[in-house]
Amino acid sequence: MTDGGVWAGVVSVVLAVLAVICAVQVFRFDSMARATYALLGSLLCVGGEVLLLGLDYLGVVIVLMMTVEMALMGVFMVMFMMNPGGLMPMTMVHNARGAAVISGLVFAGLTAGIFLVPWPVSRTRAPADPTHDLGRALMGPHMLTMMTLGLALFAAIVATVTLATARGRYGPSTPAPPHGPKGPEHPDETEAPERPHEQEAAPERPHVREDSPHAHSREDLTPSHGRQDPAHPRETGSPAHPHGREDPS
Amino acid sequence: MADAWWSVLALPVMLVVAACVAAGFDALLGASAAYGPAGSVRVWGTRAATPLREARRLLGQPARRTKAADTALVRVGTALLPTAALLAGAVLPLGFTAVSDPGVGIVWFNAMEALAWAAVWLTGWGPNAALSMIGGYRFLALGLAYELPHMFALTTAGLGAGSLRVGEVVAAQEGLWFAVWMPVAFAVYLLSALAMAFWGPFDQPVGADAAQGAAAELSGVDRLVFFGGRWLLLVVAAAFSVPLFLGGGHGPLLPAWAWTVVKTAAVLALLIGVRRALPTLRLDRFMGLAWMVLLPLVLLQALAVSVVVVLR
Amino acid sequence: MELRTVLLVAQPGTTEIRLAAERELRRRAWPLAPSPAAADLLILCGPPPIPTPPWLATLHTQLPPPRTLVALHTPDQAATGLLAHPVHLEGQGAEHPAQRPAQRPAEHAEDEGHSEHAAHEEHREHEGPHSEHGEHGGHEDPHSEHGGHGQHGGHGDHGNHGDHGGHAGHHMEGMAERGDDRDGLRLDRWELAYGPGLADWPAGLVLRVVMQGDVVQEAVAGSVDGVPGSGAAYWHEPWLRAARGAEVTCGEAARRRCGARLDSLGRLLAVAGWADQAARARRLRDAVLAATASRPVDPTVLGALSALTRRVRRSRTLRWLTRGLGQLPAARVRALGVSGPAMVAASEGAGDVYDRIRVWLDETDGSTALFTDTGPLPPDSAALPQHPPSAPLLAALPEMLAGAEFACARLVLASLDPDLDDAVPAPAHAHGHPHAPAPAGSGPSHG
Repeated sequence: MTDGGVWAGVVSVVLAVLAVICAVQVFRFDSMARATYALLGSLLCVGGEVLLLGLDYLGVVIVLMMTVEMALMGVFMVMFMMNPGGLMPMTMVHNARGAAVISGLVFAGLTAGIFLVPWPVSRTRAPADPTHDLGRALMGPHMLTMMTLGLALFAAIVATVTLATARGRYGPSTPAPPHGPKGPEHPDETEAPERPHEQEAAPERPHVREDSPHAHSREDLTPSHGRQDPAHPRETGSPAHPHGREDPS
Repeated sequence: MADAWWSVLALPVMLVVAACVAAGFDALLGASAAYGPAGSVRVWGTRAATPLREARRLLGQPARRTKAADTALVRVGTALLPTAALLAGAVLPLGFTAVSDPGVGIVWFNAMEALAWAAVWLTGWGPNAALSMIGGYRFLALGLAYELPHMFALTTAGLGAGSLRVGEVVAAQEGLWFAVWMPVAFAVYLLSALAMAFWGPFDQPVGADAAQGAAAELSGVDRLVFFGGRWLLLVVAAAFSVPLFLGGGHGPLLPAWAWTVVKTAAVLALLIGVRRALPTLRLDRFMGLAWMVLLPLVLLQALAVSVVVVLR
Repeated sequence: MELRTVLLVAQPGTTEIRLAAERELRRRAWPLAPSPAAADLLILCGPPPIPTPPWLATLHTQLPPPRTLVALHTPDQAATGLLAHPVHLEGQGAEHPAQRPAQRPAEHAEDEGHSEHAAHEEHREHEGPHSEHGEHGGHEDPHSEHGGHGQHGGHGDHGNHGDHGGHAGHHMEGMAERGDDRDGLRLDRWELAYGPGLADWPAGLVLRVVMQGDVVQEAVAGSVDGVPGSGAAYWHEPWLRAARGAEVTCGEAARRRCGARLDSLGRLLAVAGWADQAARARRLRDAVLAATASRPVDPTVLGALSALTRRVRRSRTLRWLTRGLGQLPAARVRALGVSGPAMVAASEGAGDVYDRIRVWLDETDGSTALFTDTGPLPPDSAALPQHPPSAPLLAALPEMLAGAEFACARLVLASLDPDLDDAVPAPAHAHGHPHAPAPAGSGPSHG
């Protein structure tokens, strides 16, 4: 083995260990943000491994895609986990025992596969430019498939965006609906709106942890309680009277 | 294009110097708007040195944290920004020499620059603060708006050269710059360069309306690293337009490295000037522009370039 | 020269002090900080209220150490030495024994979901030095909802959490709830208050909002407490003096109105992220306000003024960004009794943010012709700003902000620019007669 080979081996092992550590952390963290980025760390290490295999394009694309995908998870965190910094503790595992059994079995099976399968020995040398060969393999014989897929996916993206904008957030009708979010146009909103993560989040919420912000809540504007009942700040939404000092009479 | 060992050491130094000069230039522009033209050379010098003085102030400032913050995420986020910029810079050729010139250099650049998504989001989410979170959130919207046109602009340059290797893209422009015959891709790249450094009209993630959004809760060294990283990202984004569209080190009379520097400085000055000329683009409006105008345009550009490449 | 980054906080009734402070900061080339974290000097316009209100204590502790608080009691103090009046807030650094138990709850949190304390130990370490400051200072409200977190532990579904997070609007304090968004998705929502610590924010305004992501779902405008009652609005002062029978020239009133419009314009441009033009507007505002009858406005200032308004008027980007945003149509204007630029904007156009900007620009340009007018300002009530012009604006805010993204909400607010000092004793109660001649807000009706 050459010097470079040794180094590649060392790096490979380090990346593999890091990938596993990060992957384990995904399930140990109780913050969605941390879990997401631990997963990203693990996937980046996998991207590094692919790079080490000489598949530059695939490796870099893994890094690119996974970064963007994990970052986009942030949208869902804001939608469903807007709790402070994502620190509202929520467990990332369900059915822990069953999951452990299943994953153990899968791991054992895959590991056994590594040793039991008679791996073919390549008789050809590695191509000089694997990216080029990858492109040929994908776009040569499977050109029609790829083009159809590409178009279909792109159309789906555009259609989704269009559907999403029809309600007005990113579209010509940007100005806010004048009377609040709950217009009469959603009479059926009780019809089971999607509630992903509800299951995870619901049982955890009541248990506010020591360092959760709830323990620290401040009331910096407390004197205003006199004028505005703290229990019903939403009911003052009527434009009847502001709570300023502007009425001297 | 040979890899040179010294380039590994030189790259960070050169990028930091370029960032300092650019920040000084920007401070001069800002000060002349805020305080009027500089009366003397001394005032001029003081103004140009403002970023450095600010950096020194931040270095000496103890960090302040918010309650129940996820400091680890903030640290990872802020540190990731300059790291992403430096890693993306690894494929930047100075003249014809880069730290590395991998066969997929363009994709590498794209991947490293995309780390900024994670960086800004983490920085915004971590402090456990409303405006900070809004800032991080805004970067996701910004990313969704600029990233696809950006990718197609990069792809178009790669198409023109028939390679994703930066060195070969430069070599393909020995006669004619790509900026000349793929102007739309060049323009879109410049826009996305602004956006990836959340600079200029795309600074909504650190917008003034949200008290600097993602950076609202940063102080001390965190703040320095974050905004320093942003400057590095802007420099790298501007510099990468040179090998992609402006012929890299090609040019008469001057040596190749000098051409790279001159072209980079010109692009950088342009990007810095744009910020002064325009208010911040709100992403609810820019999103429509990006998807309905920029994306089709750059796709047509890619089509046109493909046709040329096939025919020639 | 030392570089300080300044968080400038204006209390109601301190417009003149704020202007003096901004002038002084510009002279020293000290930048204004966008947030407390970025600042190392907190300048409070007006004397610090006693006892220290919680919002101020919080704001102060949000500055990174070593933090300095300076209170300017009069406009002159800005020039005589910004740093000559450091203030020590009462109760700073003192522990509030009553509050400690709430911050160090029992080991109650150690249940199954929380076995990961090790991973989060850095959160706990902040608790000591950071949270013992004035965050709870002066917190003696008996009907606190937050006495201890134990009492929250039990409920699964809180109705709401009242007054979380009201201060500078920089921290998320409360716990998110779920609520339907406009598409019927049940999303997390957050109740907070954006308050006096924000840059480019109307002095003393507190906006209580319910947010989902960056979208404002509900908003209520109010004013900050713990500050001395504001006097007459600085921007109305010439008219008030004229009403009392004093000799006021039309030129002075015109300059004041021009200054008011430039102040609003500078604020809006800053919120819109156009820092350079905002800075220009503020420089020109100060130049116009500094002029007197004997020392008229410099011709170069007039030139720069028309250049600025031309530039802003011609900006297609600004038009694209603000068209259709924050519409206050004529019908609502009448119903609410809105006066001033918002009323003109509604009668001349769609009444959106851009229309209001245009009215400001028109009034700015229009007032320059009167700068040197030495005729007396008529003391009749028609020239007086109508009965509190900002009150209807504050009343309009909830309906205008609901459903707006944060950025849009800031623009809408800045385009209305309510002035909480507007508690003008208006002898002629013009309320309900929006077609009465005075284009109130802060301007002379004639011209």
